[in-house]
Amino acid sequence: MADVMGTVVNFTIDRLAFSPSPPVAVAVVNFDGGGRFTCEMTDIERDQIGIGDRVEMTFRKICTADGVHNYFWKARPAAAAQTVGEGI
Amino acid sequence: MGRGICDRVAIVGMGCTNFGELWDRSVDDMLIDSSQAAMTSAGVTRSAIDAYWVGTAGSGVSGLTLSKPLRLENRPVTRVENMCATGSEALRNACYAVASGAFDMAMAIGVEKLKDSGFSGLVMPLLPSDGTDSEVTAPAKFSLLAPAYAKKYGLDEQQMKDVLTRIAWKNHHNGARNELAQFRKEVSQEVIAKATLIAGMLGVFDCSGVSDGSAAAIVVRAEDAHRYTDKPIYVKGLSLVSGPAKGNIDESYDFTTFDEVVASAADAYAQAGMSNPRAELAMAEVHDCFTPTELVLTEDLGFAERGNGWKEVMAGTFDLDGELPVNPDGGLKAFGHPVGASGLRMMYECWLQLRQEAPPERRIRTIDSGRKLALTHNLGGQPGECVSFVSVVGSEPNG
Repeated sequence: MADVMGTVVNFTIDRLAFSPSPPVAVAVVNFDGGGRFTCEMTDIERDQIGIGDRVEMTFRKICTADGVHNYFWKARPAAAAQTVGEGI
Repeated sequence: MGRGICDRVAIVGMGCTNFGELWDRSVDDMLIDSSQAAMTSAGVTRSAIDAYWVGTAGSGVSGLTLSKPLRLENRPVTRVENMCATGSEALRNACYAVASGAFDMAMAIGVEKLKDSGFSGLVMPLLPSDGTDSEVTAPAKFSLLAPAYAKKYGLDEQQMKDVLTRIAWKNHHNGARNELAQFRKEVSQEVIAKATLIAGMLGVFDCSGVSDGSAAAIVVRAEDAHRYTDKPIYVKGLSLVSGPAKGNIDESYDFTTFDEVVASAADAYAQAGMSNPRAELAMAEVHDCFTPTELVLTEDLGFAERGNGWKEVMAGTFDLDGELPVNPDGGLKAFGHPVGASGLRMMYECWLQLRQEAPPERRIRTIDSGRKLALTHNLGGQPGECVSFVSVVGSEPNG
């Protein structure tokens, strides 16, 4: 997934969902070459997300339960591609 | 799709509890209250009812949910579940059972107890999965309708917020005129618009009420209906569809429509012999779980042209005194949403309005102008992945 770019076609901020980095920014991403996935956004300033934004995928921590860390794909702005994300 | 059972069965009795935070009433209490009210309404006792369908999303399992509190003596009781369309599913099955000739009289009853679980909101059972399902909340899923609609039809953010606010304002206005509703106060558009945000542009007043409640209907063959009431409500169309759930993987889905609603509406209208719902319906009860849902539904159900629903909302078309009143009882927004009961609660308002028994303060005028049909729309799931139910009922059999 890490080398596939996509475009945000819809988004919302979920202020109810649990996340270690609330509020959860949710993006519906259409991928270059086909396919769609709805996932959490990361490496963004609050609310800085818009329809048409270009994103890439990054493998991040989703949550920790009973000491078990769960990682999965999140989207982040394509402009952040050159910097290594430190957050979750 | 199916041929339908237009005018073959009729509703001859209904009951509905008040909805709300009913800390003093259990699931059993609510089932007893709504079933008793329905039986009183039809002038029958338990011995006359041949079979039961009880709908609950999570407040009971099996037919024992109903047979135990009612102490039914070995009658067929089926528990059904179809997410937030559960109450409608109970009615649909009861109608088909009577239409088949297997039973003379059936009861459909729905119930939900959401306020004693220790959690806020609807708690779904944890299902086996591959762990990749999104854990986005219901308001966030439905909030996706708003930016998509605004972008497609050229509304700026403030215009979109105004449209959603007006829908919430209208449903609170109607709920204030309903003694059974969870929220019985009018709320100003200013208060609605400034409320704490929950998801996207949805504030707390854009979300339906989390509540306890129960509603019930008694169904018989149409030719028997006048034995029980002078004003039966005839079932014209019943459509339930479950979609392919590809909205979250299919790039072409644009979050401005529910394909499942369009399909179930077309099916129900065909069964009922309708061609112009906007002109033929006296009222509609639609699944306003969140305000943008009601906006999209006005278009999916054919009450407004594509892209024009928001203009009709702002023009008051769907107000209590509008051309086509939508959610005259306050809807999920103000009446509350005890999941398994909601579909039957919608039918209860059709029952009252078509029989001209709604209290004067919320009686719709479209009945006076000769319209005799009402619609309920019930939806479970989320945009792009849902089940949808549409019914059409009427106060007279087709000529």
